[in-house]
This record gives sequence, C-alpha cells and structure tokens, in this order.
Amino acid sequence: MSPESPLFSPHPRSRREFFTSGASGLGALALASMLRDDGLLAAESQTGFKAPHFAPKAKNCIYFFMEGGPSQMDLFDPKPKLNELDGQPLPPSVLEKAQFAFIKKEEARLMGSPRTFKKYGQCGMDLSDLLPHLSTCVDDIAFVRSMYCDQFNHLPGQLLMLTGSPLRGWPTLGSWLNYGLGSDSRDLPGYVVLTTLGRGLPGGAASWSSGFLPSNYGGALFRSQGSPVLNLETPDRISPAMQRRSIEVINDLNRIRQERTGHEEIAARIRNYELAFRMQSAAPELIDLSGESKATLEAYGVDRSERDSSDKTGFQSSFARNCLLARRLVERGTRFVTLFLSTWDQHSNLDKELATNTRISDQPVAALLKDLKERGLLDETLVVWGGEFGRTPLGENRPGFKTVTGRDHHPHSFSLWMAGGGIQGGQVIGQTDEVGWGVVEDPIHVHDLHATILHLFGFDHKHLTYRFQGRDFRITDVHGEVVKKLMG
Amino acid sequence: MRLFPLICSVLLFSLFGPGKASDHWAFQTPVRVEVPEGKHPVDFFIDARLSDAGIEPLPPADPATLLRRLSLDLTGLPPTPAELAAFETSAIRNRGAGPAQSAIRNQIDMLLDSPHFAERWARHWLDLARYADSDGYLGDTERAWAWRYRDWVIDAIDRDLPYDQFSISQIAGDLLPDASEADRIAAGFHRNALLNTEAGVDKELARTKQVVDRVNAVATTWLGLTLACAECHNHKHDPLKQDEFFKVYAFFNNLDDEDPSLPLPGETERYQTSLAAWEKETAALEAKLAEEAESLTKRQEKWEAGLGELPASPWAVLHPAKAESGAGDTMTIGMDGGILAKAKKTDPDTVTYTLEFPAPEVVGSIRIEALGSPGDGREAGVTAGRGKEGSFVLSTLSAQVRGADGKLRSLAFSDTRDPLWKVETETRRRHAQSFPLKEAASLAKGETLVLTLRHKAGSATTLRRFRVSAAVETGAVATDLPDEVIAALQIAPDKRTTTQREVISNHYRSLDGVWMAKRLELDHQLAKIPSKPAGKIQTVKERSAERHDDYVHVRGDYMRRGEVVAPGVPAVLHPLKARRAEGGADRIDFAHWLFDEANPLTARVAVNQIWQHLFGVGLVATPDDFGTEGAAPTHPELLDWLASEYRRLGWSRKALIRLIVSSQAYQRSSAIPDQPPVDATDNTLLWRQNRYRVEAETVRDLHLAASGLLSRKIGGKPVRPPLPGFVTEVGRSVAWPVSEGEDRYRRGLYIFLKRTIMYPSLIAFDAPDTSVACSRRDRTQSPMQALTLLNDPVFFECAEALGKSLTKQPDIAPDTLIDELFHRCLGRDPEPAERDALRSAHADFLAAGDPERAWTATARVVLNLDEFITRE
Repeated sequence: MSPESPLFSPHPRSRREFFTSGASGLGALALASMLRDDGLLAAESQTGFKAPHFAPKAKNCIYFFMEGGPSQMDLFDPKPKLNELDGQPLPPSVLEKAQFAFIKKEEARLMGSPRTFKKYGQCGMDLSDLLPHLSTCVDDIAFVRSMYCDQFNHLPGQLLMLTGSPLRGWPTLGSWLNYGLGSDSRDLPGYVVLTTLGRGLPGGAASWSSGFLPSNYGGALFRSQGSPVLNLETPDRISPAMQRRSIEVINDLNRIRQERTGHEEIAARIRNYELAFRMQSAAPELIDLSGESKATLEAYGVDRSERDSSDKTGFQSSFARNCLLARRLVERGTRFVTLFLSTWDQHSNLDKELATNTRISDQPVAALLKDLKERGLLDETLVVWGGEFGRTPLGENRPGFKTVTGRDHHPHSFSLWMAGGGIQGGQVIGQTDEVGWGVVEDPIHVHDLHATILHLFGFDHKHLTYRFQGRDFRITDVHGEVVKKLMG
Repeated sequence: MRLFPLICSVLLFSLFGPGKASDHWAFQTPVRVEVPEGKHPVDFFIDARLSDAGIEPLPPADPATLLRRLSLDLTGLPPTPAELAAFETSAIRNRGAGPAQSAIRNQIDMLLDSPHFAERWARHWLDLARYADSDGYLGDTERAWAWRYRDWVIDAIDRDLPYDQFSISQIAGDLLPDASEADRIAAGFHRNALLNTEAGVDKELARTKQVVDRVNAVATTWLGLTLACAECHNHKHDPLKQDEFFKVYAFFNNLDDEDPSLPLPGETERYQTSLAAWEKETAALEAKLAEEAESLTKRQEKWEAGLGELPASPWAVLHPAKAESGAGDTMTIGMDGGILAKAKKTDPDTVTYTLEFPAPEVVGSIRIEALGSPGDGREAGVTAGRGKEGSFVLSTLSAQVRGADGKLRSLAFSDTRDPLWKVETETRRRHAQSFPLKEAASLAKGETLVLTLRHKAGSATTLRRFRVSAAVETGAVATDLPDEVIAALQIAPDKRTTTQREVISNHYRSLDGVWMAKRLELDHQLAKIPSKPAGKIQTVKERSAERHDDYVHVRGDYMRRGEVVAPGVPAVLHPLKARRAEGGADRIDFAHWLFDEANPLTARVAVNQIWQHLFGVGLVATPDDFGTEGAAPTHPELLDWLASEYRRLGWSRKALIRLIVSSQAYQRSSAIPDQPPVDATDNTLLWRQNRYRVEAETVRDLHLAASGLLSRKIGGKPVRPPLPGFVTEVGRSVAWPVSEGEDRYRRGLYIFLKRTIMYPSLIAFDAPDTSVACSRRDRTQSPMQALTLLNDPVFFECAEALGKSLTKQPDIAPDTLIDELFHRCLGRDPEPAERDALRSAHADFLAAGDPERAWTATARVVLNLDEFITRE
C-alpha cells in the first residue's frame, strides 16, 4: 500500500459526521442560515475540528522555508577550529562514512568561513556579520545548532521537513495544524503560501499539499507577481446579494451531490466557496498595504528593490512584502503561513550568493519579529526559520570548479531557529563538533522538531492522527520526541 | 511556478536504490498471462484481485454518468444534449439493464473518431513534451513556430499513428532516411527544452543543460525513469554507472537547432495564387503609367514654355561639415549637400537639428529646401517631412557664427515668427523658403556658420530630407525651381545632356498631379508584393562536423573530461543493436532499442500513461519512476498483459483505449455507497471508478462548450484570451495582444504558453509549468479556484452567453430551462431537489427584474458546481 494517492479520497467517517452533526448537518438550511447570519456558523465550520490535547502556547505559525540548505557555519554556528584547519583534509574516521552529492571526497579540504562572528544580546549569541538585523532580536530567539536529518537531496529533504515523509502524498505541517485546530480566520485561508522563488521548488504543490487529508487543508498559494490574489471582484452585473445567493445555492447543490456520491472532496469544495465569498471582502483589505505606516514599510523595506538597481529580480521588495503580508495574515487569524525563499543551494559562489540571500531576507525577517512583538502577537505566533539541511564544512571541490567557492549538501548537522509561540528565547540548543561535521550534543531530528511544534500547539503528536486506507497516520510516523529545552 | 533548472549534472544513482537492481520488477520482460476466452482481459485481472480480497465491486455507472465520463476522457468535451438523449433511449430499450453494450460501443467509436479526441490526448502528450511557446529564463523569447509541433501531435493522434512510429519520429525523425516534413516537425520534441539566451551565459554550460533536459525528457516519457535530476548523488549500490548515463547522453549530444522554412499547409499554393494576381495588377498599372508618358511630355513642354525667362539662381548650396540631431536621429549628408534625417525613436519633445557649415564670405539670406520626391520612379512615396502625410513644422531657425577663437556671435533673421515655416500639402514635391537676415554679414575664412532648426512639436513633425543654401542679398527669393533645374532649363532643349533632360523631367513629374497619382498607385502596388511563404518549423539536425566529444563529465561537470564514451545504453537493460557495422549507434538505433521486444519498460510505461488518463491514477502510481524508489504496480499482471497487447495491437492508441474503456472496471460507478465494501479511501483494487476534477484546460473547455461559445477550430497559431494587465506587467517581454473573434474561444490547449507568465486560470487548476517533462499533474483545491470560476471575466462571459441563450426562450417554463441547463452542463436531468433549489434561486435573481441577468446568474451557479468540473 502506497501512502501516495493522487486522488482525492472520501472518508466515510467524516461523511457521516458531516450529515448528522449539528452545525453542518444536512445541508441547505444550515448553509443558508450561515450565510444569512453573516457567518456565525461559518467560524465553527472552519474551526474546532479537534480540541487540542492540552493548553496550547502557540496559535499561529510563520514558517520561513529557506529552500536549498542555508550554510550554518557562515550564519549561525561559528567554527574557529574550522578556520584554523582551513585547507586540511577531513579526518579519516569521518571521511570513511562521508557521502556527498558533488564533492570529490578523497581530495576534499575543510573550508573556513570568511565571515566574522560577534556576540549579541544578553544571551551572547554568536551571529555572522551577514545578519546585522537579526542580531538585534537574538534574545527572542532559540537557536538550534543540532538539527539533523537523513535525506541527502533537495526534494526528499524538503518533503521530509515539510511533511515528515520524504515521499510525495503526505500532508504538510500547515495542513496538519489546520486539520487539528481549524482556522481562526473566517474570511481568509487558514494556510497561506507566499513565495519568492529563484529556481523554483522541486516539490511544486507537494510543498503545501494536504496529502491524504481533505484538500481544503492544503495551502493557498498566493501569487508572487502583481496582485497576490486575482478575481476578488464580483462581475458588475452580479450584485452582492446575487453573489451571496449564488454561493448559497451552489453549495446547496454541491451538498446534494455529496450525498449522492459520498465523496468528501465535495465538502472541501463547499468550504472553499464559502471561503472565497468571504475573501472577496477580506482579501482586498489584506493585500492593501497603504494603511501601513511609513515607518513600518521602511522597517520591512518593501521598496528596497526600487532603490537598489542591482536587484534585478525584485526579490528584496517581494520578500519584504511577503513578510509584511505574513504578519497581516496572522493578525487576521490565518493559522499557518509558509514563506519560501529559494535558493540557498550554494555549491559555488557561496560568499556572494549567501550575501544576496541575507540582503533579501535579514531586514524583513527581523522587522517581522519586532513588529509581532510590538503588537503582542509574538507570544502566540511561532516563527520558524530553516531549510531542509545544512552545508558541508568541506569546500566543494567539484571537479571543474576553477576554485573552491561553495559547500555541498549536509544532512548530518544544520542550524535552524525558532521564536515566539512558547519558545524560550535567548538560548542556543545543541552543539556540533569542532569542525561542524556532526552533532555532539542534543541531536534533534526533523521528527522531533515536528513533535515539538505540535506540542506548542497543544497536541500530542502521537495522537493527532488521520485514518487513511485503513491506517492511522501521523506527521511523525513512528518517531518524534518533544524537545522540552526549547520551551525553557 | 516551478522553473527548476537542472542545475546539476547527471548522476543518476539514487534511481535504483539499494538492492540488486537487475532483480527489480520493471527490468524483467513482461509476462503475458493468457486470458480465458469470453472474459474481458481488463476485468479478468481486476476481478481476480477483488474476488481474492472478497470485495464486491460496484455496479455500472448510470448512462448519463458513463456518457459524460467517456466524453470527457476521450474528447475533453461534454456530451451534447442530443447524444445524451440517444444514449439514454438505447438504455431504456435495454430495459433498465444499463445502456446496451452496442450503444456504448458505438459511442466509444464515435468519440475515438472525433477530431477532439486527438486534441484531448495531444494535451496529455504535450505535458510530457514540456511544450511551450517561449524559451523560458529571463529573456523568454516567443517561439513563433513551436505550435507546428503541437499540431503534428494532434494530427498524428488523430490518424492513430502507431505509437512506435509516433515515438521514433520524435526521437530521431530528422535522421530517418527520406525523413518527411512531418518527421522533421516531430523531432521538434527536442526543441521544447528551455533555452537560456541571457547575455553572459556560459554557452557550453547552457548547452549541456539542454542535453541533460533532453535525456531527462526522453527517459521520463518513454522509460519512466528519471535519469537526470537535480538532486542526484552517488549511491553505493549503483547499478547504473555514470559512464552509462553519458552513453545515453551521447545520443543527444550533437543536436543543433534548426528552423528551416517549411510552408504551412496550403501556404505555397496561396502564395502562388496571390503572386500571379499581383503580377497581373502590377503589369496593368505599369502599362497605365507608360500610356501616360506621351501626354506627360506634352504637358511638360507646355509647363516649360510657361516658365518664361529664368534668372540665374542667386543661391549657393552649403555643404554641411557636421549635422546633428538632439533626438539622436541618424543624419546622413548626401553628395548634393542634402541632409537625410532618419528617426531613431519617436520623441515627443523638441527636436533640434544643429548644422555646421564652412563660412561663406557673405550671407544675406538662408534658403532651406525641403526635398520631396525627386520624381524618378520608386521614390514617389518620399516626402519632405516626417509628419502626417509627409508634413513638417519648423518652429524656429537661428544662425550663429563661430569664430576661429571659438566665440559665438548671433546673426538675426528678419522673420521671427514661430512656427516659422510649415508645409502640409503637396508634400511629395520640393518646397523651398528663403529666410533673409536683417542685414548681410561678412564672415571670415576659418569661421563656421552654425544653424539651429527647432521642431517644437517633436519628432513626428521634423524635416526629413532637406538642403541649405546661402545668398549674398538679404532679399534673395527662393523659387520652387531647384537650382539644377534652372541651370538645365537655361540650356536650349536640343543642347541638353541626358542627365539635364532627366533633371528637368524628374522635377516636372513631381509637379504633375496626374502623373504623381498614377506613380503613387504603382508604388503602393509594388509595396504590396505578397510575402513569400513564411512558415517555418523548429527541428534539430545531427551535427556532422566539429562534433561535441562524448565523454564522461566527471562529477557532472562538462569542463572535467573523463573517459571517452560511445553512444550506448545501460547494461542493466537489454543490449542495443546498431544498424551500421561502423560509426557506432545513432538516435534511430536508440529509438529502435526502445521498441525492441526485449525492452521491459517502454510498453509498460506507455500503457500506464494511458491507464492513468482513464482512471485518474496509473497502475504504477509514479508514472515517471519505474525504478526501485517508485511505486509498485497495483496489478502487475494486468500491466504486463496490456503492455504485450499494445504491441500486438500494432501500437494503436485508439485500439488500446477502446479495449480499456469497454471494460466493466472502467464503466463502474464512482459513487461511494453508504456501506462501502472496504475503507472508502482505498480504491487500490478498483472496486469503483475514481472521481476527480478535470484538468485546467478542460475546466475552460467545459465552460466554453456548455455556453455555446466554444470554437471547434483545430490547430493553428496559439491564441491569447484576455488577461488582466497586472498579470503581464511583471515579465520582460510582456506583449499580450488579445485574440479577436472566435480565437478568444478556442480550447485551452491553444492558449499561448509563455513560460514566465503562465495563464493564471490554467495555473490555478494545476497546469504544469512546462519546465520539465510532466507525467502526472497535481490536483489541488483552493478558494482561488472558486474565485476564478465565479469572477474571472473569461468564465463570466460563458455564464452570460449561456444565460442569454436561455433568455431567448421566454415562452418556456423555467423548469424546462433548468432541465436544459443541466443537460448542457452536467449531461443529466436534475433531481427534483436540485430543480427546486435552482428554481428558487432563479426566482430570487429575477426579483431584480432583469430576466437575462437572472438566467446569467442561474447559469453561473451550474457552471460553478463541483460536478461540472468533475469527471465522475
């Protein structure tokens, strides 16, 4: 049995519930009243699918998915010894087990970091000179230097980080949380995906898929160019009352069809029509940044691309706008926002390209943390920043590269940080060895990370499950330990 | 958007994972289990598994559902109400036992014969071919002729070109002996790869990326293997050695792009016809002009006689040393001292010409001649100015003298009007105007006369060809006669040289209205010469000289040469037989190797692709990965049987599809009963049909078909339906000229696929981004899809058209119209509850008082139903 099912699958249990339980019980009347009561019942229909197992610390999550594998020893994990050993071979004991995508390992040499690190904040966190803005937030952040995973390549690595499985077809973390908690937003999707993509995402829609969960738990991908959401205006000839009545009867008819065919997927369509209707009034306000103060816009740097002629892609502004949009979304109750930035896959030209990435991301990410804090949202909003793996302490001597200027994929140790939503800031968790090859203290696997995130949202990861093809699935499969240290 | 360039090299090792790859099922030759007589082969295998599991499959779908399923799967269009009626009648005749098998068979045959079948299945193929109408990357230049490959695919599928030939033409069509035009177009499969034309790109790196993509596309499409990918790494148990990858790579390492002319169907004939007509018309006009010559001479003599005594011209032409335009126009100085300004770009602001001349001794007047046509034939179209109808407006003229010391002093003209001089009529002849100075100025040797001509109304009003002269007197008159004409006229007619005679007659012609009119007519005709057939194709050509060497790229880097390899195939698969004893194997051999009876993959992969489009999911759920990391087949024996049957059927796509859709498994209901025989989410054993949303293009086609707007035109240039401006304004080359007339309503597969600006409603419904071969589309749901169907102007237009057609039947009861709406959109009758719901909504819509609006809104409801965009 493959967990991968490209088909939408109905679910008899939820179907029965759907037709017998109160709020969403047999169709037409409930829906009609819902729309007439201006969504009194709508909030219920979208939330409260499961009660959390215990009191949650976090309500929302903003996940910065830094596609490609950011280089930890150039950003978060200083390795003076590595600098010292620059140009030396890897110890034979390590070399033997080593596996690389591109490096010619027999001739590979350790590569020091040209970055300068300084201590910041009360906690004295070391950060690279590439992160001047983030360095002002360290006391709110828990840095993890001991992440590891078992996937060597981008696609399975990303799927593992996003879904807990290296295979396609599994629900992403954002889908699980929306499945578990529903959304607090009546008017906007509970799960939104914002992208600033250089080379694209290898997993495509699998990166925000609901997998085998009903598909209304999938992420709603906002457009990265121009207007984030199209078609928000009702055609001229359809009055607001007609639009309302239309959605009502569309869903009445969809409900009848669901009854006839038994397919749960239709329920997802119904919810999407309700949501679309509300988005028509809510989304224009969401994406209109004109109400933001000049100070806020400047803090995020939303017009940096216009001022920096070297930014031909416009990514500085696009990412800043996405960060601001993320705050506006959680403010309005969206449960989960993923911001993709690609790519951090610097096999070569690391110095320059890493600096390009931090030029895009450092300022708005820090601005977002401060903004959330000032608005009192940080306590309930978990912010996660990381990629699918890290990069090698070895220079990538890929044959043919004239000089060694990059690092290869490295699943054995990497860094990631979290803030807000119940995370104890101002601490560093875990330690890597002196050259940053392996984890020597507090190893945290991706499954542990997922277990911890679910814990922050009030769930025991072992008991947030979904029955599919006769089996109860969970995001941590059969693994996962909550990392208590992160919560202080 | 998933622009996912193949950044790496080409190590394919993750492919087979650990274990002994040669034991992997997909590398074993398919085994054909014989099917007992009288059993449908598909049902034989599927029922056996169901029976083993003790699962009772569902009964057949009702006739309406089955008809719609067949129509959507085979043609991508909904059944017409007439088809529905006929189909249901036959079912009734069958006394409730479902539609008669004969009726189903007829319907299947009819659908397979429909030209729309080819469009539907071509679109599936184009996903694999990563077809697009532009290059991708930053430049994303349009590919004007890419669509000819698309049309070839449609035509080949329509003709049911056997799959082996269909494939060989695409892999090696250019190499085939006596390659037909169609074969060369087919080889355009390789041209669908992304192309990076950015300045400063490493050309060899860009080329190797293309080769990798070509290998990848071929491997995905025909072998179901991801040979080259971005996330590859060494594996300890590699059954495929790196050199084996580069052996396959070697087949594709020497393809050069070629865009030969190849007239479109009928284009040559059309050209020849119109050329003949044009030649005839031209000859007639030439004859008319020749006829005029005699009376023209008479008129010229009369004109000459009327001129009387001509005084000698007081003007001396000033030959410019320098001519510059403030608008950056190209200023060409002719032998005769004339200056020709050629606009670089349009400039709405003041355009200034600055001219410098070696100083004449005395200047009393300046003359400017606006030189129109010299009248000698083809230049009748040349005008004095660059404005409308050849007009010009000179705003001001100023003169300065620059001394040898560089100091400037101004000369004053007596006429200081602004605008100073304009010519708006008779712009094809010469005009001249004298501009006297207030007082004559003496200039010293070595000084420079600087004239500044300002055209304040911008570049659309400047002088085009003009000449400057000077006279000593401040009262010098500028006549309309050019100096050289005066000089020639002063010679007695019988003493004139041929050149002098021509100078006079050419000038006269420019004045003679009758002649000019005819001359102009001929010029316009000459300009209308039909263009030669423009049709081109995109294909490839095997490089014969200066071939790229075939060697292992060590660690995937082309700059690092490893061992030299010859074209070949992985040892884990059957050996390749080269046709020629010498010179090694070529792409034809590779293509034949794919269709060798010993090839365990090609047929399985092909039938799996077809199966996937008829059941929503393949027998192997990972159609792009038949390796050990991919999904195992749910029905291995059926997969093998179909694979061997496809070959036995002569690789007839239509025959294989006919076989599958005539099975009970295909025709089963997809509705889940209250008591499903097994967990309803688990349909691995196919106890029911699957129910799933249609593809992006079909979402649009369904709207167009149901509303009656659909254009059923097949093939041709891609179209551009309307698109909001802010969608296109982000790309670099953003022109999106919206198609007119029926082209707005062509099927989705004809929408121009611009890689950096994919059509938003297609992307909203998971159309692939065309960057790499796509063997399986995502099927997502989102509120954005609802917004698209509700509010996108293109979809609303469909609702309006449908609403309007219902409004035209005012005498018919609403219930009947609701039934019609259901028939047209969903291919079935409404249930009473559905009719009630829609009638009540329609009544509410009607409260606004506008029947057409009410029916539009009602139609829009049905076009937004889940069922409408679902194949059940």
